[in-house]
Amino acid sequence: MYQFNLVATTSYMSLLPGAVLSTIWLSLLGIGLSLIVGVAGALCRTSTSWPLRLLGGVYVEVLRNIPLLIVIYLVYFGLAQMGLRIDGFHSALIALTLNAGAYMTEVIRGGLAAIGSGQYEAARSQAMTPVQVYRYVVFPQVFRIIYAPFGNLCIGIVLGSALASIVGVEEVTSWMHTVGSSSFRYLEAFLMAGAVYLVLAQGINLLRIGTGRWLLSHSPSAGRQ
Amino acid sequence: MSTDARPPILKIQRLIKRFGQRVVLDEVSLDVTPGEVVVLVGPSGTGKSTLLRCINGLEPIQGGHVLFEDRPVVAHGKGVIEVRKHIGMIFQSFNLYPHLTALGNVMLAPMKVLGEPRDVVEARARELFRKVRLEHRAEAFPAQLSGGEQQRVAIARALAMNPSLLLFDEPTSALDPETVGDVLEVMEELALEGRTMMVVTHEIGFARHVGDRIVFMDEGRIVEEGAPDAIIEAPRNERTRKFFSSILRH
Amino acid sequence: MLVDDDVTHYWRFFLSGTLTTLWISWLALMLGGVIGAVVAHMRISRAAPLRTVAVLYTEFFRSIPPLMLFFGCYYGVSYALGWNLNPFSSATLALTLTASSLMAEVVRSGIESVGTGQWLAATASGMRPLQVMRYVVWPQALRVCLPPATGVYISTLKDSSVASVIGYIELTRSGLLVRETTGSSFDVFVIIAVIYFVINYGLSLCGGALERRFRIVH
Repeated sequence: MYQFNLVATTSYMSLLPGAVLSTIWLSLLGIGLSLIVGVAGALCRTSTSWPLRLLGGVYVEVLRNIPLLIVIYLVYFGLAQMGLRIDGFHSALIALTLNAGAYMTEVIRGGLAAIGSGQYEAARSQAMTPVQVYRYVVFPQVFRIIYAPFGNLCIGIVLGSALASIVGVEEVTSWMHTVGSSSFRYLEAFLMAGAVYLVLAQGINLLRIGTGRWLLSHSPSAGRQ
Repeated sequence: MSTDARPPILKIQRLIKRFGQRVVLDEVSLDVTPGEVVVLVGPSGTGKSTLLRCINGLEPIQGGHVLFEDRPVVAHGKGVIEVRKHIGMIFQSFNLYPHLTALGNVMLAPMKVLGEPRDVVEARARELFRKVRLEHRAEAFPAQLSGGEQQRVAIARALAMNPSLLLFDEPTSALDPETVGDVLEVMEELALEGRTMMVVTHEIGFARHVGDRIVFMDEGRIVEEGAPDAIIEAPRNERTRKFFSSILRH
Repeated sequence: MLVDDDVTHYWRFFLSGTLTTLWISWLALMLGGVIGAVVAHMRISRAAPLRTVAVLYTEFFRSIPPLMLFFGCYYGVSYALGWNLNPFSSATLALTLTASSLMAEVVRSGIESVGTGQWLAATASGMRPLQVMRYVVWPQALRVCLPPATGVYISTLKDSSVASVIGYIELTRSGLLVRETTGSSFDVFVIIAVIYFVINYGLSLCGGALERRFRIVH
């Protein structure tokens, strides 16, 4: 009969906060960097120059159809073989950014497409430079449109960060495995690690829902033309 | 509403515009003097809206010249931004910025493009709201306004930049009949103030009542132009006659 | 740069790895589809407790990383319950659970896509709820589910690469084994990546074609 015993894990609990911070830090960096990649990718895909469009399209299709683990291995082992050694954390970060960047590109591209051409025309007719058009008219609207799929993508990045444990990063999943194997209390470790991810994922979910409500009260979009 | 003998504010010379192989504007020439109200009429799809968009450089042209205050207008060229500061455009589908209030819409360009201070811009914005009779709706978002209200905000937004030329692209075509009158009223007041306006519209009554000159276009060319009464009652061209008789039959 | 040595000598490994990947993902899709369908029906049931369980189930599996699930099914089960699941069983279990939560959403949308008018017409003609499901709802829902189910299969194929971590010899693990033997990482992983890409991209095109076909019918 398996005896559920949380107390046995207390000696390992001191390592948990550090692991959680690792996960959070990796995820935040991943979200930020993939956002930059996503904007660049979306601008490429909507550009008037066909080489850029092709580049964007190829990038998105390739990175969306390859498992994240393979990208991590390519960066960590593959580049090392060619002389470029990157440590586990940064390899995972680069892989995560490239992977999420592809999805981010599509999310932003969808948002840009949902903004009618009339908005660009009105802004340009008011003598705004292209930078001003994007800054004051386009991007404020894009955020309102895409905050929901963006939120889901953030959750995906948090969950994807778990694969970093395979290349030696000490985050929540590696904590779980270490603790579970050493203390033989795998179920407890599993539940605690699961709780961490649940809190992170559902926390982002709540943020997403909350953002939706805030936006609704601040700029009702019903009947937008 | 009166025109005078000052030099033309806008000179369009043998303008050619193509979309791919299709010629949309075929050597169109037109001069507009300050204070004049020019109304462009004609069957749908004959390039009238495109002509307006060539004037403020939203569309590039393949031949001819557009000169605004004697400065050439070249789409994507340097200087087109400067030109656009003096030309206001009102669109058929309003194109208000949905994430800003009506006041925000009117204040955005003067602050960010002209760099004017906030309090000056806000005072002028509220004055313009009084002018278009929407003072109490300044804090509303476009989604909360009716079509006619949105278009009046759009007019205020264009006026906020103190333009010397106003371009109206079928301003009432997307409105319910009841609200068309409100917008036309505002436009008439602007004409009476002496503003230079180019209006593409199907509202022949407005053209007749407010316009100084009617320009009838068909298939990318100016067929006939002249004083409203003259051109409507006694058109010289057969096509012009057919157009007006079919319109006025309704 | 591409060393032919890898391809010619070890292509059998890649082939068997590919077939294993396709097979285990397919198994997970089928089993996960059954579980997902059950969960979907619970989600739309009138009994609030059933609905809550369904929501908790889907939200749980969407909030934890697949890797954790693989570890849990392999190490966790053996430490906690004493069962020694082999990598194949663990991987199948983990993939099935993940796929089931995705399929639950797919099936739910499929059922909801059948308009309430259909329900009314069928019930009015005297059919019992189960008959309505069997003759009216499921046939229509099935068609609607096919394109997104393709997406779930693609997602499962990608998740199956994580099974390599618990030692199951699918495509990724085959690649790792070849890499250990030949010592060349870059070439091997590029080949693996190309294989995954060709399969998944091809499937996504099929999914798109299916979607277009059904849009015409509807």
